Amino acid sequence: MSFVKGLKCRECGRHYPKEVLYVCEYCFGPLEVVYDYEKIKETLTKEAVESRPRNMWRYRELLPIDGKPTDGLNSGFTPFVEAKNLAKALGVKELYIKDDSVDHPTLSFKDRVVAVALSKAKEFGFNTVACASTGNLANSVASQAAAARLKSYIFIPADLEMGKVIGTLIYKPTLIAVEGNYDEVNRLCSQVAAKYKWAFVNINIRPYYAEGSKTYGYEILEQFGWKAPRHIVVPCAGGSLITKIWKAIKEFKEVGLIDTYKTKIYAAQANGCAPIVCAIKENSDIIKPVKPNTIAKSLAIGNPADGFYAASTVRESGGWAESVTDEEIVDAIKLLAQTEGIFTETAGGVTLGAAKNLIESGRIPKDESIVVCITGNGLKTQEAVIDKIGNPIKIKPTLSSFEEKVGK
Amino acid sequence: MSIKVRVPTPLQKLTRDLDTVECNAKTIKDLVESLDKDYPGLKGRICDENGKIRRFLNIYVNDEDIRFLEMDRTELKDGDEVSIIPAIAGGQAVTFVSAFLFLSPPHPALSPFGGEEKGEGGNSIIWTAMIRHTNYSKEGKKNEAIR
Ligand SMILES: Cc1ncc(COP(=O)(O)O)c(C=O)c1O
Ligand SMILES: [Zn+2]
Repeated sequence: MSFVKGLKCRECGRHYPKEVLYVCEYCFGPLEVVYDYEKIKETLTKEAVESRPRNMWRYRELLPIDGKPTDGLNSGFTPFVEAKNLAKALGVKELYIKDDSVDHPTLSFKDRVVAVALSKAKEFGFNTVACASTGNLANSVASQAAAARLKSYIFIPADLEMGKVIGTLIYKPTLIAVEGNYDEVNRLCSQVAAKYKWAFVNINIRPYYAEGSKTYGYEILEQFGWKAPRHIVVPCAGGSLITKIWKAIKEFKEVGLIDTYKTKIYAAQANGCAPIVCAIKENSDIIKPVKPNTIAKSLAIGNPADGFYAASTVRESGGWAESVTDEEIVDAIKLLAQTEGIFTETAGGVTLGAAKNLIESGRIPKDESIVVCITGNGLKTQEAVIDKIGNPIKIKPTLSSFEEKVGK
Repeated sequence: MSIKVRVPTPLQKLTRDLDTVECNAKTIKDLVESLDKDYPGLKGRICDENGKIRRFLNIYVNDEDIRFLEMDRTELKDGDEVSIIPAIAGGQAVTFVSAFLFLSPPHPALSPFGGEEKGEGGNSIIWTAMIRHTNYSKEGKKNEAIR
């Protein structure tokens, strides 16, 4: 049972069939999935969703597959944490963490997009999947491909953190570490994708893949009580997640799962790679590519594919954007850990750091509901904090040693 | 004044299958008009209804992205080379030879695996070296655009 009508160019509106297509032949714009919302309304009710298993496929009508989901059957439905200690630390009334640092199986929100991509790749008849990744996508494609018995080719920049490399290799994909930054990896992959018959999740099946991110947004709305929070702060790399959270809100309104929304969306990036934040702050339609230089490697995309739409999302919602220094990233990682007991990766440090600055500057009011999007796990980027968290106290296995070194 | 323009594969239907064409123009805006005279329909593909360069088409003047110059007001001079490249192709005026070389890992984080990647797991790590060529005239090769 499919609710997908087809694909449509985001730029010029031309329609395309639901095939392995991703770019408009006419204007080179990206294609997007179009649904039959009238039909979706009939089956996708609150009661129906609530009666389904607690995973991302509970919103299946709004996802672009034709058959049954086959992958990521335990992905999604991650905790929505009311962060009281952090709220106090930041001086705000109502603060929530949408915590995809514990998404199944690879501890980032990328498990959602990959679940959709692999289910769709199989529908298209592919037996090999591939991706260009800043790390988290690599982990997820490798893991879910292993479980799905698909072959995988994973392309990453050669300087990724050890956690991201090991967290990919363990699943035995073909891992290709390219001497270059992500934008160079991506360019290489466009050429590879044109030549090999693989499902490149974020290239030739990108329109389908990207839809998986919407489930992060749907869950925020459901877990907030089938309402939309007032402010959502989102980390941006390619700019897809932020765009899809906005789409999720609009779709829930469209199919009647929420009544209204007054949500403002905020983009967070690192100073060393902030092309989207710059465009928003300069009120420019043009995303100027940059050469990334930041510890937030998962967000180090200098030429973001959906940068324009990310900036439009922020503008349309009435939100804003903020970037943070590497030092602020580390401070925010520590703050989240030490107030809420959640260890996030550098991307989460970027998001919380930006949220903190937005609150302090008055861009986000202190008395309205705020959601901070934590999208990845700190155990994967230990290099970022290893020298900044002190050391264990070493003692001999005797009471006197304990009292000498620790006791008062 | 002659300017060389590299045309991406999807637009070559309009340039009678030529991947490089020549024209005279003072600015990028001029160039589009001039191209449209010689190859009718090209302007509609390069610009939107408002005459603005399409968002997912990148234009380079001698390998410099016009987003870093003066956009379509960027001035041109005799001998300039202009490349039109769909953003989806990675959007940079760089041709490269990707040589799959088996080098030692450049990342210290990989040292736990030892110098050689034999490993029982049989995981392959392929270090790819990218050799970039930004000089078209010497290369004389067309940038690979997506089909
Ligand atoms: C942990 C994490 N958060 C956020 C993002 C940003 O996602 P997008 O590329 O959709 O903007 C990424 C992208 O790799 C990521 O790894
Ligand atoms: Zn189009």
